[in-house]
Order: sequence, then C-alpha cells, then structure tokens
Amino acid sequence: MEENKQYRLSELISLVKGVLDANLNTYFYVIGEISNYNGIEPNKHLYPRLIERRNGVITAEIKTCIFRGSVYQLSEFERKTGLKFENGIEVLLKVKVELHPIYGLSLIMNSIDHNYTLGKIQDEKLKTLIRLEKEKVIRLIEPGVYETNNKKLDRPFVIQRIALISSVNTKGYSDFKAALLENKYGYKFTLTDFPAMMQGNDAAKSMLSQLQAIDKRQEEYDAVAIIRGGGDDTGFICFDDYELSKAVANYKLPIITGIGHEQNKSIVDMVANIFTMVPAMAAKSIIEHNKDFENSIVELGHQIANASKEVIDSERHELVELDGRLKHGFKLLIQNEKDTLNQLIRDVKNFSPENTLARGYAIITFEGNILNDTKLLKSGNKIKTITSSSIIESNITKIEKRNGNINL
Amino acid sequence: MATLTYKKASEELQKIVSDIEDGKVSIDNLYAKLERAKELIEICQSKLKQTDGEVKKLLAKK
Repeated sequence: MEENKQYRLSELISLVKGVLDANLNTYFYVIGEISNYNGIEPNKHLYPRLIERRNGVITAEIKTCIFRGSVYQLSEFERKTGLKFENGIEVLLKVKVELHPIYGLSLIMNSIDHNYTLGKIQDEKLKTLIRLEKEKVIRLIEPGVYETNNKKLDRPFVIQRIALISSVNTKGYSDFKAALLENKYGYKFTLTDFPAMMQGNDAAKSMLSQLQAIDKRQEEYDAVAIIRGGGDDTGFICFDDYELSKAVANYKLPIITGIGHEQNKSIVDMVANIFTMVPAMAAKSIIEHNKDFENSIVELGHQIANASKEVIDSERHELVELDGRLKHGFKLLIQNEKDTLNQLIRDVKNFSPENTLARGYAIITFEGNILNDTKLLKSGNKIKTITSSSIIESNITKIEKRNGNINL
Repeated sequence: MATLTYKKASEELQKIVSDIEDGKVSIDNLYAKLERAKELIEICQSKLKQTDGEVKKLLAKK
C-alpha cells in the first residue's frame, strides 16, 4: 500500500482481502457463543453471529456463515452432544475468515467440534458429581456407579400406583403409557400425570416442583416415573442439574427413569432407584418387577402344596403301619390266649387219677371208700391197693406213726 | 363320629394298637376294640383322601 494514494473502494477491499488471504488463508478453530440464531430454514444459508462476553458484556462479535451444505452438521451436533444448538451455547467452530466486498468480514463455518462441547458438558457434570459426593448425597461404589438413598429404598412388592412426571402427549409419554397399560399379564396400573417441561432452561425447575408436589401425597403412590423420549433428541442437560439430581437422590419414593437418550447416563439416571434407557423399557421394568412378585407367590404356593403332600403321605404311611401293628397285635393276643387255654387243658389232664397212678402213686380203699383217714384202721383189717395196673388185696399186720420222712 | 378330628381319631387308634400290643385288652373286649380300630382307620383314610383332593384342586386353580 502506498501512502496518500487514492484507491477505489473495490481496490481497497481487494487489497485487504489480499492481506487476509496471505496470512489467514487456512481453516482454524475459534471458540465463541452462538447469537442471533433463528433456527434452521430449509435450503437456506444461515447467518448466526459468534460473540464473546466478559462479565456479561459482549466484547467481540462477528458474522458467521453456515452454508446450506453444512447445515446438516447442526442436527448432527445435537444428536451427538444431546445439546440443542441454540443461542447462548459455547461452541468450537472450524472456520476460515472471509472478506466480502459487500457483506464484509465474516467467518465461514467448516465444521463444529462435538468433542469440545461434550467435554464442556462432561466437565460440568463432573463438577456436579464431585459436589454431590462432597455433600454425601451420593457415594461412589465403583467407577460410574453411585449409592444413594433413593437406590437403597425397598421397592414395594408390587408397583401399581405411579406418579408420572412427563410432558403429556409426547411420544415418550404415550410409549410409556401404552407399554404399561397393555401389558401381557393383565396387571392393572393407576397413572397420575404430573406434567412438566422435559427440556429447555426451565425443565429442571419444572420437574423439581412436580417432585415436591408428589412428595406431599407420598402415600398415594408406589413409585415415580420420570419419562421423556421420542422426537427431539436434545436438551438432556437438565437431567444433570444439581438441584434436580439431589432431590432425586434423596427422594422417599423409588424413582424410575426412562429419559430416552443414547448418550452417557445423566446424573438423574445415576442416582435414581431404577434406570432404563427409554420409556418403554421403564414400563417393562415395572411390569417385570410385578411379575417377579407373582412368580414368588406361585412358587410359595408350590412349596405349600409339596409340604401338604408330604404331611398327607407321612400320615398315610403311619396309618398303614398302625393297621399292620393292629393285625399283628391281634394275632399275638389270640395266640397267647390259645396257649394259656392249652396249658390249662394239659394241667387238667395231668391231675387226673389215671395220670397220677401212672406216675407210681396208688389209691387205697377200705370198706369200699377211698382211705383218707388211717385212724379208722386196725391190725387185721382188709384193704385194697389200686395201682395203675392191678388191685392188691392185703391184711394189715402193723400200723406205725410216720415221722415225716419217706423211707421205703 | 363326624365331629371326630383326624388328630383325635389317630390318637385313639394308636392307643388301641398299643393296648393290644401290650396285652392290655381282654378277649371279651377284643372284638369291640378291633371294630373300633377299623372304624378309626376308615375315618382317617377318608379325611386324608379329602384333604389330598382339596390340595390338588387348589393347585389346579390359577
């Protein structure tokens, strides 16, 4: 450039452009906050502004151009980060500086760095986790797994009365309802809606206030379901909110989440009693929980039946045994009586006179009678001695008193 | 007889059996005891059958 020389405007811009091109003719990365963004319009280039603030005051600003061929990257960014591409978010853009003769200086966006934003989200999440841990709201068990009061809660045997925090009539809401109410086991459920905003800046506050509302009617519910899903795949940052996460972690009713995102678990997911990926899964986990209870009841029934069978069988055995003992005892008793009777018969036989004579005894008769008293006898009397084989008649020659011994 | 419980019937039966085994029953009473014992066995058996049937019926229900 020559001093004091006159240039045409186009020449000047061309010169500036030449300087720029010589020094900045390459893609590089720039950090900035999105501003003046009005959403995607089909087949149109977008011209948001990239700004920088210091203490809330804008200290730098530049027009940014996203050509329509690059617009798809915004949706990709939202899908990968789970964050809505909107005014106020900080992003890392790969850009090139361009100077246009009419539109002036602007940045041409080549791509958005998802990892930068993911890192920022992760940093925030990590900070919240550390804070919750420090305040003993959560307790690390193993990497990524935390113990909380809500997780330690005993679930009721059956979960039937459910307080539902969701955005009514969204896809996630109807998915959850359908899966729950049309379950194949025919279980009945009572769902009570606690409508809340499930994305955006006020979502965490909105859910928190519904949790407080449910808390006042705690006895009316078995569990709380936090359901979101379908449609928009962004705005999950509210589920990493410190206040909301703390409330869920300490909540008195078991909380089941089905937030429906493919990213890492949110903090709310990590601290809730039951975590599932999507609304239908949340419904399924409740149904399965109830099915477990039914199974245990059926199993108990079988155990009772088997125990009853055992009792009956053992009584049957006892009865058969008693019957056997009865018959045996009866036989023995009859046999005993017979034996006793036979002995008596034998005894009677033994004491008959013939049997006595056979053993060597004799009967003496005197004057036709059995002699029982020898005082009646005198020498010279005639007596008869009857033995087993003969009758002997004899005359008495001598009578002596006996001294007690038998001396033959 | 209908009001006799299984437990009572079983106890009475056991007593008769052990009395017979111990020779405590006289021939005069033996027949009567035997008849009673048979009756008690029938009572117990029918009660067992009935209970068994009821248990099975309960199990068949779903």
